[in-house]
Amino acid sequence: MIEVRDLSYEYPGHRALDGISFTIAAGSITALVGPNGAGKTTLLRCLAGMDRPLAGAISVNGVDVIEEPRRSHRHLGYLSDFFGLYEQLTVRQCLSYVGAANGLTQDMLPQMVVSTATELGLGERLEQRTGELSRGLRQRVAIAQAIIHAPTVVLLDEPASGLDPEARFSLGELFLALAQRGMTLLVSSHILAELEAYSSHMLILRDGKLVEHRQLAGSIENTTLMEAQALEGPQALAAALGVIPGVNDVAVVAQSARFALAGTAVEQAALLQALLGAGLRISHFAAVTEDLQLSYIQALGAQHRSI
Amino acid sequence: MNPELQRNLWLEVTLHRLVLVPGVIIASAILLHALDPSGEALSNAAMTGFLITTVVWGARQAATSVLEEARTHTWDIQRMSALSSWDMTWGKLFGATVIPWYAGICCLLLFVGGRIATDYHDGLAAILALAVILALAVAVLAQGAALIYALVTLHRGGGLQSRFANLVLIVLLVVLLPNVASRIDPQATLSWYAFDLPQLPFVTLATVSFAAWAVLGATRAMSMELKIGTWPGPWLSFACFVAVFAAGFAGIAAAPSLALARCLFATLTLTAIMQSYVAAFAYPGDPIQLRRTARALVMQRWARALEDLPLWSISAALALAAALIATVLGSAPQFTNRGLSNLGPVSLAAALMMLRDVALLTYFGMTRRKGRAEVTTLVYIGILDGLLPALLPHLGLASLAALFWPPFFTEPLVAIGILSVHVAIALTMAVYALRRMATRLNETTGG
Repeated sequence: MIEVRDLSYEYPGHRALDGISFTIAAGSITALVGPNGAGKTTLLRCLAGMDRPLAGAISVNGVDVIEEPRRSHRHLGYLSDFFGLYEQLTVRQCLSYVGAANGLTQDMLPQMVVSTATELGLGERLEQRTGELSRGLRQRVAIAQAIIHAPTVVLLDEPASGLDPEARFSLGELFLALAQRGMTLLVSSHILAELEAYSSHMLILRDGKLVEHRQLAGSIENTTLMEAQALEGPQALAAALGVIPGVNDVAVVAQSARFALAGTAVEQAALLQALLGAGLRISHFAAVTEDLQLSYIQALGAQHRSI
Repeated sequence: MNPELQRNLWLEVTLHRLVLVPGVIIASAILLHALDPSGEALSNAAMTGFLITTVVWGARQAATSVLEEARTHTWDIQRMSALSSWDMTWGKLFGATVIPWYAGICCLLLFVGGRIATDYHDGLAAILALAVILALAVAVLAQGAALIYALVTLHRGGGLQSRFANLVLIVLLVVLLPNVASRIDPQATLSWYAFDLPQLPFVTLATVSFAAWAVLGATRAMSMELKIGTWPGPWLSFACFVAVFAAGFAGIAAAPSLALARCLFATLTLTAIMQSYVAAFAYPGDPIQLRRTARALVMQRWARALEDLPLWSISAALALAAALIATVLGSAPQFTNRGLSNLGPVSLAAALMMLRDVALLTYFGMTRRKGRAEVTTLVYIGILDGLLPALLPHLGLASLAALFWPPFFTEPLVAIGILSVHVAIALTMAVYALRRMATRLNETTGG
C-alpha cells in the first residue's frame, strides 16, 4: 500500500531522512515513533507529497507521490500536527469543501458529509461554525476532513495531542474501525500507551534512519505473545520452547521466556502439557500484550549500542 | 462549481455585504450628482472607485487569500487537495475578490452611465468598451501580481511585509490612475515598430496580454507551492514576449533587418537579465534544490532536472545565449555607428554581471543564515559596483577602478574580459560552498 525506497530528505546542513526503505501493508495501523527530531513529521510530509525529497521513491496505492502529488491525494488523507480549520465555515461546509476538493462528486458529497460527521460524533454539529467548537471537537473535524474522501491511506501526525482520555479512547476505536474498513493508517505520536491500544505495526526512526519496522506480536492473526516461567530457569525453558513446533521468536526477558505461539487456547493447553511432559516445573504461563514502550526503548537502546 | 471558488464565496458573500456595497455606492453617486449635475465628477469618481476597489482592495484580498491560509494553518488542507493549480488559482483569484469585483462592477456601470450622460457622440460605445476592457485588465493584472507576490512570500516563509505590499499598491495606483485616465483619449497615437497605432486599443490589448501573463504566472507559482513539476517553457516565453513588446518602442521598423534582430536579441538579453535577478531574489539559492538537480542530471533524468533547475539559471542561460547572438550580430562590419554596434557586447557584459551577482547570491545562500543571503549579496554588489569604483580614483588608483566597474560602453570587450574573471571567481566560490556543504553533511550522517 505504501512503498518507500531509499528516501532521503535534507534541510540545509541537516539530513532529516537518510535513505530509508519500508513497505506498509494494506489495512494495518503503524505506529510511527522516535525521539524528537527523528524525522517523523518530515517522513509524513514526504509521504503526503507536501515536501519533495532529495532522493528516493514513494508509492501510495500504486501512484508515484513525487511525480504525481495531486493524483496521489485522492488516495491520501493527512492530519497535520498543527492543523487549522476554516473557523467562519460550518462543519458541513468544511467537510463539503474538502470532499469536493478531493474529487467526491456532487451526488456522493452530501451523503459522505453526513456519514463521516456521524462516524466522528459530529452529526449534531453540522451547522455549527468550527470556530465555536471545543479543542476535542475541532480535532474530530480535522480528522473527518482527512477521511471524508475515503482515502486508502491516512497519515496522522500527533492526532491525540490536546485530547482528554475519553476522546483518546474514542480516537483509538475510530482508528480500529477505519483499519477494519481497509484503510491503512500511519500514526505518529509520543504517547506510546495510546498507540499500543490500536497499532498492528511499529516503525521506529532515529536521526533520520529506520531503526526497526515490524509487526507487533499481539497483532499477528492466530498468534499470541506468551510469557512463561519455570523453576529450572528461563534459559532451560527457552531451550525447550525452541524445539516445539508453532513456537517462534523465543526470547529471555528477565526471569521469563517470551515467545509467539501460533494457534488458540487449544494450542496453548497442548504447549503447557508438552512443557510439563518435558519435566519442566512451570510456575507461570500466560498470554501478554507487547509493551510498546519497552520495545521502543529496547530498540533504541540496541541501536545506540551498535553505533 | 470549483470547490475553491465555492469556499471563497461561502466566506465572502453575505447578505449584509450584498446590500451594503451598492447602497454606499448609490448614495455616493447621488451626492456627487448633487454637487456636480454635469455628471463628469461622477464619471471620474466612478473610475477611481473602480480602481480603488479592484486594484487596491482586490489585490489585497487576492494576496490575503494565500497568506491567511498560512497564518491560520489551513494551507496544508489546500495542499493536500486534489485540485489542479489552475483551479486553485482562479478559485482564489475570483473567489476571494468577489466583493471587490461586485463593488468595482457597480462603479464601472456608473462610469459608463456618467460618460454616456455627459459626452454622448458617435463612436463613444467603442471607446467605452475599450476603456472598460482596459480597466478590467488592469484589475486582473494587479490581482494576479498580488497573488504571485503572496505565493513568493509563502515560499520564502514570510519576510515580505504587508506594509511594503500596501505601499507598492498605493504607488501603483498613483501611477496607474493618471495613466488609465490619460489613455482614454481616442485621438492619441503611439509608435511601435515604426507603426503609428491608436493608443487606446494598443494599451488595452497590451494590458490584457500582461493580465493573462499575470494569471499564468500565478498558476505557475501555485504549482511550485503545490510541488507540481513545472516546465520552464512559459517562463522563457514570457521573457520573449516582453522583449518583442519592448523592442517595438526602439523605433526600428518591423521589416527583416540586422538592426531589428540585434535590437530584439539585446532587448531579450536585458529582459532575461531582469528576470534572472527577480527569480534569484524571489526564490533564493536553495542548496537542496541544487543538489537535487545535480542528482537528477547524474541519473540522466532530464525532465526532472529541467523541472528542478532554479528559475534564475534558465533565464541566465537565455540571457547569455541572446547576448552572444546580439554580440555576433553587433560586430557585423556594415554597422559602423559606435553606439549601435556596441549593443551586443554591452548586453553580453551585462549578462555576465548578472551571472556574477547570482553566483554570489548562491554562495551566500549556502554560507549565511536563512534570510541573510539577499541582504549580504546586495551589500557586496554595492561594494563591488559602487563603493570601490568611486573610492579607488580618490586614492590614486583610478586604473584599478576599472577592474570593478569596467568600461561597458567605451570598451565593451574589455568589460567582457574583466567580468568573465568576476564570474569565474563567484562561480568557484558557489561550487566550493556547495561541495563543502555536501562533505559536511556526509560527515555528520556517516554517508
